[in-house]
Amino acid sequence: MLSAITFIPLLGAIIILFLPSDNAIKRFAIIWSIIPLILATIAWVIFPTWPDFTLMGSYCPPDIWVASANTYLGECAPWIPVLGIQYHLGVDGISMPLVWLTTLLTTLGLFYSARVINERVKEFFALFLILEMGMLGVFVSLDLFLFYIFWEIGLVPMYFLIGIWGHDTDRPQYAAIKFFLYTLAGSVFMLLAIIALYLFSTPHTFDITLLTANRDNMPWAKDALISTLAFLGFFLAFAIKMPLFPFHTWLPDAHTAAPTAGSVILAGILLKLGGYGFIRILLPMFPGTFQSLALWIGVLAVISIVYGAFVAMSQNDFKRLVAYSSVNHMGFVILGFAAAAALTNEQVTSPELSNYFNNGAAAINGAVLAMFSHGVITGGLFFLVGMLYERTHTRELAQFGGFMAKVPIYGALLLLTAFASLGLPGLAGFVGEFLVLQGSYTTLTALTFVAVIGIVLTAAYFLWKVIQKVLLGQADEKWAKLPDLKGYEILTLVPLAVLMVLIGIYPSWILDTINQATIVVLKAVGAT
Amino acid sequence: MDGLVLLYLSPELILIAASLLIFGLDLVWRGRGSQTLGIVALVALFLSLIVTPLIAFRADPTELLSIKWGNQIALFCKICGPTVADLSYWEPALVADAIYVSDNLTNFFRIIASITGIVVLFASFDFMRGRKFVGEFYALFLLAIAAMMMMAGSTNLLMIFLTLEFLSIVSYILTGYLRENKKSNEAAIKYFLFGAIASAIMLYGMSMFYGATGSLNLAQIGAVITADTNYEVLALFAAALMLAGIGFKIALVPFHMWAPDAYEGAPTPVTAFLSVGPKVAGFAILLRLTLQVIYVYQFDWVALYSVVAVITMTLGNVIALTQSNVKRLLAYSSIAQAGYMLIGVASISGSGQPLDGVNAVLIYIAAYLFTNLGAFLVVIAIENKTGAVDISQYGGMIKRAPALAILMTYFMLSLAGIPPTAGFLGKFFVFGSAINSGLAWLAVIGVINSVISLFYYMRVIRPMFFDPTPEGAQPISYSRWLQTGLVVTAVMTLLIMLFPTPLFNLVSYGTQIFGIAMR
Repeated sequence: MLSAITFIPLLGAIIILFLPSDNAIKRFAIIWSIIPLILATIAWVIFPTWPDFTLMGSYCPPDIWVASANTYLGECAPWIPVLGIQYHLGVDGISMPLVWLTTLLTTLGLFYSARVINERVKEFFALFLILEMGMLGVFVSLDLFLFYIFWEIGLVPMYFLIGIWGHDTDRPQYAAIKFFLYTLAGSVFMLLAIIALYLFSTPHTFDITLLTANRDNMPWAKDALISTLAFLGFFLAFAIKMPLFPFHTWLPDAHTAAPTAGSVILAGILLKLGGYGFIRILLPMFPGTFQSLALWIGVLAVISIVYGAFVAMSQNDFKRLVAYSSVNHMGFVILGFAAAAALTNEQVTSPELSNYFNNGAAAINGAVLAMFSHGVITGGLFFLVGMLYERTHTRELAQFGGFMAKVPIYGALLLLTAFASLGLPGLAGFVGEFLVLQGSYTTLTALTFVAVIGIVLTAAYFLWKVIQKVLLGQADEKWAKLPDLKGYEILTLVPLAVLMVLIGIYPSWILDTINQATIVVLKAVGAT
Repeated sequence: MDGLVLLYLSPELILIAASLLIFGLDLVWRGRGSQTLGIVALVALFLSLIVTPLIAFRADPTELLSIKWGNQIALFCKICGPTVADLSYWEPALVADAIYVSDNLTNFFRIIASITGIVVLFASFDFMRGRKFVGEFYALFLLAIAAMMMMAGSTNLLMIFLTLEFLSIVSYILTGYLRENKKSNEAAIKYFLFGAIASAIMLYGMSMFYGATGSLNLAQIGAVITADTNYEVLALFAAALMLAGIGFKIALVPFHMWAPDAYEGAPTPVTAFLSVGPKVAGFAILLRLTLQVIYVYQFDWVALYSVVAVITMTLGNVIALTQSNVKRLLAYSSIAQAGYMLIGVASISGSGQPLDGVNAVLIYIAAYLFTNLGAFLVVIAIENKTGAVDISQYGGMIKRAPALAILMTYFMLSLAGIPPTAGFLGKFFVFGSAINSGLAWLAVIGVINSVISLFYYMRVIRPMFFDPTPEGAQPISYSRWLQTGLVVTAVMTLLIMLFPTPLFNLVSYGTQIFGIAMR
């Protein structure tokens, strides 16, 4: 199942190379990308209750099979036996929603691009599907070697997406190579950390579940120097990807230069890879190191929140503003992880663990939900920016104004998305960030106060810059004939809008899923 | 009985015989039938590739005549099969005072050398069409491949010197093959002068070994200087001097100066050969020298190699950033790649684990072989049709030759070490072995260098995809031979990453002899 979800996009990319006409490619790519979406939906419905694929399980070494008891839809096959590398896939409540979101945003991105991208169509759609494979692979891999390979696979198509289809005025080639070099600079240190974990584990293994489950017996965990260095290696890769202040400088360039669908994927999924690494690797594998550094990471997270908000506020470019809002929102996610890491032992093992308002659980649940809803909301925002740009060929906020009356459907959707992003209760953005703040209050109290100021700033720049400058006021005469959203554009946005409302008013459906995995992570953290 | 021993040299002998045959045929045909001469060379290389595994797994030459080829092939299939092979019962017998051995390491490099030759020949057919002195080219090329194999098998200082000079002299001639081209002549002269100096320095180091120990045999020298630690300074000094000669072949800094000019001036198929052949053979000698002679003074040679590796990687990568000629860029890139390989040699620990430096070097060599030759095949395909060797002339290649542009991207990513490519696996093993033997700092410098190198590798790709097609540019077509070569290199670059176990078996077969040497 997971292999199918991951590799069907690759198969699609290969088929696309042999399709003759642009129209055929577009139609094929959209329909093909729905297959992983359907499979991921089925997987989400069945995954915690479905019995393990015992056929696949029989290929797994018994110790790995035992260790991955809390992952579902597992698949196992020996790959490079001399190094003990397994082809090991599996999902849990944290990766499952992100897998689903990846397939959803890919389908929407392709659907939207089919109308917008008319140059070098074959390359675009093939690269987009390869990109999808890379991202899905990261979320489903349970072997660090495999994880690293998928992590890097995503870089190459993104490099070309930014460089070829980027807007000429935004120096796309510069942004593309900057994105590539920054991310690679982080991930090579992750590679060294992965090798170090392998060498200093008994028995030698790359398996994430095994490294987590047997953590306390592993030589690397007993050696403070090695675990600190390995932690920093992983941290650098994830912090650059997130991006955490001060590693964020690639982000505004890349987001601004990328084509609309590329920005959506970049903000919606690629940033989440970093957050996913925090929760899958840093928190359960290095709780001690993370705990001792939690305050500093929390400080960086709060700087990201406040700094991101201020810089966003000073932007005159609509797309750059949305890009910086990602720095701002990702700060909350990292604050949540730092807060969970800062928990003391008795806080972790308190009896009400199953309650997701409980401190540690709230922070992690909130951070994961914030990742998910940021993907939905910011994905929507980038679509909206792109749609406006298609009509006006400018992104300068000073030229906009009065669009609420001119283009009411667009206005309504932008209003909804902006409110969701600034954290209005009842919409998706609020739930995650509220849970993060609730969780971080007990452990990182002072930082929580600063972060709350960040929320006010977020509201300020969205109200002032987005809602007031774009929607309110008097429209310039040159926009007299501005057309409203067309059917396909509405169709792109509606699924996202529905999700924003659904998570906002009834978050349990997703929180229940996340919480199952959060409990497992918290137990792993508390096992020290 | 003694004559049978020659059977062990059959890969080399086949090549030398074919080379003489080509000389003869050329004399009779007087420059006609250039394609046929190339095919003779190709057949000879294939024969030596097939013969190598047949002679590989036997301890006694008499067995070669017994009719058990079935077992032999079964054994070979087992090593190159998809599962981990158990190598425990193929320990070869060491000959005490051999000057030339046909052991596991030699066999490994015979396979590498034959494959190098085959792929370079695929690139040469188009290039040689309508040129003069075709017979000489193919004949000398076969001798160069034979010299590579013989370098790998030398276990005696004299033999090392002779084979190294053999390869050098053949390389000088091949570099200067384009007689009317000034750059080609300049390249050959430069290559020759640097080579002469490097040989002299190496000879000086050899004379110190001989003077101190009274032997030319590596194992015997090793035994003497291992027994008495007073030899430490001498051994280090002599080894450092020998490193000059070997480093010249490998293109290690500071003996790299010939490389960019020779690479640029030489005919491009020869450049492709120079970027792989001498380098690979040089590493064979370096491995024998390190593991059989100076292994006990581990602290010294680890320090020496680490420092040279750091300088080589960094200098190669930094200078490559500024190059605009693809051949020069690849020259500096290959200097940097040699630095990564040297990390592997520096991190040999004798632990016998999979992630040991000695395995890492050979895996890196195999990965580099296919990747780098593939990149040169693309350069040759473009150069043959358009004469373009400058990055700025690669504009719009994705429209003119989509397959070439995509393959070039793949090879460049492999050189930079981005998965899923063979180059990634090589880097993974090299950095892993460095951490494994406590040289984590070296691995850190290595990965920083990989990030730097990505920038110039992407500079080659960038115009292919991002720049507009130049006015009046035609689609680029290329021959079946080049297509075959490209498919082979690209498929191998992918397969080594996806299914590395056969390669790993072959590598651990090759390095098995050092289990004895390292004690």
